[in-house]
Amino acid sequence: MSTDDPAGRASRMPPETTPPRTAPPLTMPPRTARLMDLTRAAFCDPYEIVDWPESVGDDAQCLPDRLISIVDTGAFDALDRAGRRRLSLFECANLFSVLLHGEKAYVAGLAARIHEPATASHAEYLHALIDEENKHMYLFSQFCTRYAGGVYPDHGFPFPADGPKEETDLVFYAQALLMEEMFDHLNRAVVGDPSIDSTVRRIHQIHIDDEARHISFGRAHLEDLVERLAQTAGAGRLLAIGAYLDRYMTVMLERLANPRVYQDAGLDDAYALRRQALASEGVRSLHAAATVRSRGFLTKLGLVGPEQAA
Amino acid sequence: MTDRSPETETEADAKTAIEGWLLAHTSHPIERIAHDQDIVTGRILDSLRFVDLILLIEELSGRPVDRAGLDMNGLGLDDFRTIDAIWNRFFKTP
Repeated sequence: MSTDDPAGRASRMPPETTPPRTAPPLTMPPRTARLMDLTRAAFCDPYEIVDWPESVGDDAQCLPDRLISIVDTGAFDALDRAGRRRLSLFECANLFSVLLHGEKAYVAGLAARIHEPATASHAEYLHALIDEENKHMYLFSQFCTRYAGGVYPDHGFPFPADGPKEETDLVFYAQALLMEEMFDHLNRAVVGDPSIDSTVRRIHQIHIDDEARHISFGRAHLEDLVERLAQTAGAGRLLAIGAYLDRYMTVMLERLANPRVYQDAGLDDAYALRRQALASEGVRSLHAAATVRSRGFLTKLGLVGPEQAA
Repeated sequence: MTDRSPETETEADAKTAIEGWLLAHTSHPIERIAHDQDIVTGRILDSLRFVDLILLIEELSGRPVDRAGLDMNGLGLDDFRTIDAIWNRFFKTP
């Protein structure tokens, strides 16, 4: 071992035939650098940010009526005030569970991609984004565990990736963005209703604040990915991807109607009740309101045709 | 040729219900699905509709299918690959 190199690094250096790494240091794009600054300024301790009370929803609902999946059914009409409060607690826990499972998939996918060439210049911010998503998952799981008997299970199942990587990457980032935008609409509906339980509103507000930055990143990144794919894929391929994403939005929102929730709230015929809920005007109009912004963006990107966006 | 015992009414009803649900939710222009047909590779079932299939299995079988349970029992996509496989995994065993 050389006395100049006590750790013996020289002996582990690559052979001389390996070209030296001469790439310049990566510079974060200005928008991402700005998001990183904002993230630093908003940094918080997730273990202290919420004062968890003994119970929630004793005197207030945990969701506004219009966010409750069965609001337009006879089963909801038949509930008294206490029954509605109890149902709203489990519906809220299910909403947090759906978000948690969505963020779990996003974090796993991001961790796999973070230092790939396509995202390497954003990597510093993406590490912070993963940190924030993990904090949200912690808050959601705390709520579910403390007040609703646990996180509702994820029934998703990983199917093998299908298609070229540039397409699967685009779909991955698009799905994350669509989740963020749809649930931002729901978060804001909760925060904007002062009659809702204050702890619940606090959690939704934290999510809104962080996701505003994630949505800003997600939109810019998706624009880049679509622009790149459009150089090789035809308009028909982009519309096929858009049709899949449109279906994704519907399916994710339908997960807010969960038979387990109805069973926990003591309601009968839980599976039939879900079908009734999904066919109801209340759910359809909520889904339309939660997706209108994203549909407009997908249309602008050429992923949805104008007639599909209507 | 494999010997197969005749289907009971319950088995036939469950398989027909699953087939009907798949036909109603697939984008493929098909009118029948053979009960030994691969619905995963053929993309008759995709990942987006998988959760709804789980809910249908729960409703028809009267038993919850928790993701935790799936993992503990070592289930994989093959357990959902055909209507016959779904019956064997989720309905046949008491």
